[in-house]
Amino acid sequence: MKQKHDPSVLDIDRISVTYGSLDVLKDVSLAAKPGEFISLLGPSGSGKTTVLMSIAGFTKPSTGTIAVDGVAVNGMPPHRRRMGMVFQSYALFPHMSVARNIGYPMRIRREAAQTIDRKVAELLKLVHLDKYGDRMPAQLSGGQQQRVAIARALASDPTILLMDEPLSALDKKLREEMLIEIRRIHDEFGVTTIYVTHDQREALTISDRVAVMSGGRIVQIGSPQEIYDRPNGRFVADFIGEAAFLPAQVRNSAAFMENGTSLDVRGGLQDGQYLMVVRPERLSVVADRTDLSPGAVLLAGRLQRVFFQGETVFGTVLFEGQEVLFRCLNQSKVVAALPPVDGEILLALQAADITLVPKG
Amino acid sequence: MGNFTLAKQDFLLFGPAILLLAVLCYWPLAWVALQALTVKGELSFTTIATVATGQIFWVSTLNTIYLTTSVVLITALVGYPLAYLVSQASPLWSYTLKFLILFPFWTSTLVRTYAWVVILQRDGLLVNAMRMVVPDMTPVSFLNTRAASTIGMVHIMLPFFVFPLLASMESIKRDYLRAAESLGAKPIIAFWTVFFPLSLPGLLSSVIMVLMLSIGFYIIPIVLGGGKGAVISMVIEKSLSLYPDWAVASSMGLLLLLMSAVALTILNALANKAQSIWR
Repeated sequence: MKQKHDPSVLDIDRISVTYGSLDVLKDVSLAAKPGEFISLLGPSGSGKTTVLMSIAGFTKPSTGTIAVDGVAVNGMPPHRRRMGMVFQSYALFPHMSVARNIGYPMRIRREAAQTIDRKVAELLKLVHLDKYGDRMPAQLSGGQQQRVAIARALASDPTILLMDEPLSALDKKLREEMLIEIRRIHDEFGVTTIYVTHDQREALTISDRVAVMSGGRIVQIGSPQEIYDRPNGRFVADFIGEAAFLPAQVRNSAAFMENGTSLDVRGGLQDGQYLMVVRPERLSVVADRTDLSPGAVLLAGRLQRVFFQGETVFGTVLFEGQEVLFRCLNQSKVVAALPPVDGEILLALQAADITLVPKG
Repeated sequence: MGNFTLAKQDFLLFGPAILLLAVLCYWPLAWVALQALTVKGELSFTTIATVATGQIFWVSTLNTIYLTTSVVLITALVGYPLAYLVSQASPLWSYTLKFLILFPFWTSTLVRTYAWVVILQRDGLLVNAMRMVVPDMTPVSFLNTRAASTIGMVHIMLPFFVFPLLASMESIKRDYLRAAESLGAKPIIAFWTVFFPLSLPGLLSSVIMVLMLSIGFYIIPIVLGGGKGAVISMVIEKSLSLYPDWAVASSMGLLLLLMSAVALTILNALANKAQSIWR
């Protein structure tokens, strides 16, 4: 490997897409390194599928450029872009057998029959469908169809693999299995992948980086840990994971909660109004007020309800007029220490877990 | 499916339809068969054999096959691209085009046939239009030709062809074509390898529809085609007025039915063959 500046396989530079007076995408930029797995995560209507369609060439951005391997592809028709696309509906050709579906891109390129047969067999093996080559798509289960769709996309030897909510039609258990399967196939093939989903768990589990989208823009992009632990605003903190937001402010570089509790926040924050992001699993139940590590914040509230969820116990607490959620492991000692409903509960938030995001 | 059973009250649902078919179709058909295949109450193939070997029957059969085939082919050549256009159009355009295709249905076939007479006759609209280009053209009539019959029938058959085909084209997901293109297929290749095969069942039902309607068509061949290329329906009509009984006409009717069945079988076999090419 040359130690030169790592080139981008995909370089999206400030693209915008407009339908009539509707701005679907506004100045979206995104770069993907070779072999990277990037998720576009956002609620429906946030523009994530439009980004994918623009990369594939089915949507034409009104401004901005899309470059693949350093070459602008703006005017290039979809069939010349070498993007393997996996559709939400799978889009397997119903009149072709599984083997014919997977061989399709190679037949289009007029490869030799033996080469096609060999590659189809390899791909069938890769997606664990060795014996299913002669079946018709309608004879397969949803998960099997999905795997054929992935194999077919890989058969086109794509520069980038594009996946549009590939798991949304599957049931929950199968979704988890397929998620691991997709990542395994990605690692085995090493193909740069852009994955669209509205499911934060999927995005966090599978991606090297996650781009959170809202209203046609990328709001934040970073590793799953960054996105989860250091959200850059209320939207990202709220959309990913669960969180309560407690008002806070910074004056003369010192941070305080509304009740005057000082917050041990590292890194210079500008003076202004903030929200403290309080995630349920970051709170721990403590026995008394002295039982705190240095810099930890104590939230004394009233226990409202407790929900038993199997491996965890989930509770709602009223703290200074606001609902705060906590979650703890279902261990006898922890559960036995919980106060009765309506009793006072002491929750501790460790210094390292204090996160402030700008208000509004 | 296999475990489909009928309750007594189900007969109330389809009883009327069965009754209608029985009275208006199966019973007359049985009567026609009886006329053709019996002589004085005895089973006899003499009439049908005589008819089937007669020159008039064979000439009119060939005329029928010629007319029907050209009508089906021309309707398909005009109708398939039209249906494709409608299936790919935006909702507003699709609605407008469907309305325009259906519009002629609001006038009776007879009226529309005579409209063609006005257009094709000597000193008709077509000749007058041609005179604008060639002023000293001798007045000529396009009526009473096979071409006139074909044009008139294609015009009547077009909606019958477009709508069954359109229904099947509209069920082809747009993602199929996008998938094909993203896998490297030019739009034209994507069309021939994905869209066209998937539209074949619809194409087959459209062809069958037009074929069945054309094979026994009477009004247009008589009004626009005149005496030229007499088709089997015209011969049946003539034999009814020529002979005292219905035996000859019934025999021809039965033979026409048999030809339709053969045509259907051939078409089905072709379609199955075509489907398996892509498997």
